[in-house]
Amino acid sequence: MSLKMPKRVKYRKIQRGVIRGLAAKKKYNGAIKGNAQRGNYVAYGDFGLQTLEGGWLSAQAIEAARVTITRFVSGEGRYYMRVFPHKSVTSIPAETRMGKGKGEPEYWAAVVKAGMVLFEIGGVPETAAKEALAKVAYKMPFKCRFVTRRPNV
Amino acid sequence: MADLISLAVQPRTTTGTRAAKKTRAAGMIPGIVYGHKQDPVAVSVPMKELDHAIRVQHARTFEIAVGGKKETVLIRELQWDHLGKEMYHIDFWRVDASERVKVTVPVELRGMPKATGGGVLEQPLHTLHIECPALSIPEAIRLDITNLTLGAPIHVRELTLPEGVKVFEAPEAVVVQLKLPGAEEPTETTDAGAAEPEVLTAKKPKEGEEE
Repeated sequence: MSLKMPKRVKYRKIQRGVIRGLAAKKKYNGAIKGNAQRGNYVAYGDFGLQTLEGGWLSAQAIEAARVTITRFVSGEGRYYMRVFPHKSVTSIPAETRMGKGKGEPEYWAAVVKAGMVLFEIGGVPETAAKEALAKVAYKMPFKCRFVTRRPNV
Repeated sequence: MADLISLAVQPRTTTGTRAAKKTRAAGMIPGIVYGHKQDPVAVSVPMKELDHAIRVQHARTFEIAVGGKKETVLIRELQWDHLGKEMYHIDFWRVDASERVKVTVPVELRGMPKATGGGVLEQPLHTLHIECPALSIPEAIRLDITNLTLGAPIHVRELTLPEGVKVFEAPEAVVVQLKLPGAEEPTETTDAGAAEPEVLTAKKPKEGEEE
């Protein structure tokens, strides 16, 4: 499967919209301010991978995670992807003089806020889900944690 | 069915964000008690006791004493922090033993299917919206899936419910099923192999300019 991206968009290039602090720049090309107010609990599966930091999650990283999860759960359970790369990220080629307008889209990314559940797994035992999501967490550009469903009240 | 658990709540006089933060720092959770056309009462609830009651005892209904008056309450809403680790605020709803309430209960699967036939376990309904007596809310609707087979899903109408429980989900809604993994592949393929998405506002070249 090729990388995920929108089928159709209104504009090819969009504004960056990142908080550009020095610490954030050092980390991963900016950091997203604020916490997730929705999409922050396990909704479809039994277990999930929750991010503890904000930022951009590239389509490449999402695909890498998908491949990893598929290897673990294929034939046993189901997985759910809760993020989609809606944002196009542009860049200016190397050794190019400044100016001449905005660069061309280089990759697609999902804007992720701290607390968002990125992936979910259902239909497998907890130990298997933990193992699969630990491997996925290793490929993520953020600190992540394993989460289960919230108690029903 | 969860028992009635007594909670030592304290009336709260201070309100607002800063006061709520101080309450949480003191190991309490801000909450409110309302219902039965009586005045709402702001309370603070001990965090550890409430956490234990919800996570371990799976309690829904409590007996609390506010201002020397004993009341039976049901958790109406529970707010969590953005990571879902800590409870932020709780809404208690006054209830009577004779009252029927609308709540959600989880569906708990028991066992594993004996013969999957290459199918993958899928549970579209994790919770059910039910109506039941306020003081006998089932902890969960338990469902044995050892005899679940491929192509024979378990619907809402096939569930064995405790007495006095009415489900609001459609009777033909699927609760749990075995599904072939290949059946979901086409929906996951969002892009048709295109290198770039279609741009809706793209400028089309005029006919005169082309020549």
